Amino acid sequence: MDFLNTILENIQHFLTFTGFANATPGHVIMIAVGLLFIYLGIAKKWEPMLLIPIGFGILVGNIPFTPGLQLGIYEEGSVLSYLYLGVVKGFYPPLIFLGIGAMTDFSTLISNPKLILIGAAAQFGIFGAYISATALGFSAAEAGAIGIIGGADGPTAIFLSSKLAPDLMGAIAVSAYSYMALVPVIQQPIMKLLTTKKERLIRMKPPRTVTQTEKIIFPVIGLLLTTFLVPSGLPLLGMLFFGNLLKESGVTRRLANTASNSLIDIVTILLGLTVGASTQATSFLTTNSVLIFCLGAASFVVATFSGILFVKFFNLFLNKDNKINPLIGNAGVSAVPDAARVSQEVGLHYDKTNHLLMHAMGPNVAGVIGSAVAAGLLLGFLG
Amino acid sequence: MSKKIVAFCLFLYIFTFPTEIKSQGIKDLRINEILVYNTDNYQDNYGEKSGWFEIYNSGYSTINIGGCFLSNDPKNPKKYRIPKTGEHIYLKPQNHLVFFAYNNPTRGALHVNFFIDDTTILPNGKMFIGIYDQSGKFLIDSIYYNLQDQKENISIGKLENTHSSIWQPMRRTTPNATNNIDDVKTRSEIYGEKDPFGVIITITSMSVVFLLLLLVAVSFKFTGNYFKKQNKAKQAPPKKQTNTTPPIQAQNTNEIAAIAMALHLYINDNYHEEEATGFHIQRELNQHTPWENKTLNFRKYPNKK
Repeated sequence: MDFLNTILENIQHFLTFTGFANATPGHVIMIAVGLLFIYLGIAKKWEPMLLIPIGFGILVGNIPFTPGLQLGIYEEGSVLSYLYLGVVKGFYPPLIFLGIGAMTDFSTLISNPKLILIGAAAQFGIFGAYISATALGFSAAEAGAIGIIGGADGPTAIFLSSKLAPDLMGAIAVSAYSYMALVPVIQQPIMKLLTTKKERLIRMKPPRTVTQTEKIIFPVIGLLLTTFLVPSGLPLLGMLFFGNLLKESGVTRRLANTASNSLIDIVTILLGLTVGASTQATSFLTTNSVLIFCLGAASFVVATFSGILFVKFFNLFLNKDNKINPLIGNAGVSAVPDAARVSQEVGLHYDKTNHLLMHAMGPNVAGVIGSAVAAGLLLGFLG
Repeated sequence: MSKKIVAFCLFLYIFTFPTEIKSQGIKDLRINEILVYNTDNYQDNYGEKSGWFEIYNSGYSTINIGGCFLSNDPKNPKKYRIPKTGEHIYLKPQNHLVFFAYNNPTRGALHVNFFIDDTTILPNGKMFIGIYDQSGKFLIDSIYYNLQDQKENISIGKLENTHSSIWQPMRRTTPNATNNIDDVKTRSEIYGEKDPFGVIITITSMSVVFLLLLLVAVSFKFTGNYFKKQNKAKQAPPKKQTNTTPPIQAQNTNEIAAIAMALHLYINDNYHEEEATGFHIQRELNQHTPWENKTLNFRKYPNKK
């Protein structure tokens, strides 16, 4: 009889360790969010490379357990906590930027440098969110971390929030990646709202052929100019331009291939999974997270508005042959290449022979540089 | 063109010309706080109350101070050599280290072999403490102080994280700790107070972002013009078109876009063959090199026959 009692006690004891015994409504909500992300990634194909790792990470991070077993991402010594170090210490984002640099073709930007300014204008989204966040009572450092969601660049958002507001990083990262996935949904109505039919039909001059020497010079001069003025952007800009030099030099194809394929894939897996896992219900389901999501949406809207309006303003000073189609203004927010793809789709909707993709890639990659510079500035001011 | 390049380089030079060169490493060491007359203050691990001075790593990397020299006499810079072994030799960023000065080096590495009170007054009537690099030739930091200004149990120190070199009496001694006794605000707190609505940061940052990207745009406008001229010069006069083949009718515009994109991306690369009538993108057959080809790196099994 004692033997049976001991077994029953053991089973009861075991049951206290299970997820069922430790689950809270918060865990259930977060698991539902994770499942939604996975669904959107697979069924709707919205940024599957990001939403599936993050969605699955949310499931991993919200399996209820008894604390103290070195399981959770925030528990010292757990495997997940080691994988999360790349986020906490901020070394995943620069590695991703290396890959982005190695896979990005800056030739449209080089052939038509004035498009770079659209990438600058779209950074108003960051500072619009910054002002709103301070008005809502966030501290300056927290507001800076939240504002960077408007840069539409996940790695930059993680990099800056890990430095300025580590407690908000989970919400900021999930918000940034979610809205990047929703770029087609957010941007299209704004683009249609702000442009006339005549403007949408503007045909831009085809970009000129860029020589390889120019492509090699670009990352070198780009690095020197940007980081001399904003040294705090060095980790991101340095890696971005380095990756691009690997690609364009023509003599380091293997390194460029690794950076733009295996390396960025590995880091994306680790980053997505751990960022997802960092959204534990206990720390994630707060009023602040809801506010961050609202501010993130607002920042994307402001960024799109400012990009398009800037092109319209810029067109006032350009002659008839050099006008810019305002439908590429939205691409000034980073979100490479989704934002440029949106320009192409909306452009084709109104003129089936007007391909804007190549033109939109200019402000799109300029947006990457612009958001990294803005992040560097915020880090310099508030870090 | 050359004038424009010179003007551009000059602009860059002026824009980026450094006004102050900051070092990293051993040159970041600072003498930070001194207590000359210690009768009722910080004591060493032998219970001795003596004069002491504090060294501060003002940089952002750990410094190995082993082998550096400390002295109270500028004519004899190699008076006390900091031992090269022991935990004390690694001074972490923004950290402090106190040396006791009562001429008793047998009590450990942090006890120097000189005094900092009235035993070594220089001809100018002042006292001196200096820290030198491992060669003993380069003076990293030093202080000259008047003995008559020193009071019992009141140290003199410099405020950290400022470029001020003014030594002032401290309200209380802070051995092995920062001299900034008052509650120090972080940069973000200061900005939060100065700019509660974030307007100043927004204007400043957006100006910098625009200026920077404008600079990049102007740079590439210059280089672009230069390369365009070079390309024009290289181009041969156009030949007469003899090809009478009718243009190919693409099935849909997406094909045209894809071909145009491929032409744009790869026209200058070596992926295609030059042909008179066509453009052919060639697949690279062997992308592997012996370095990455595992089969070439595996050791062969020995032949057992």
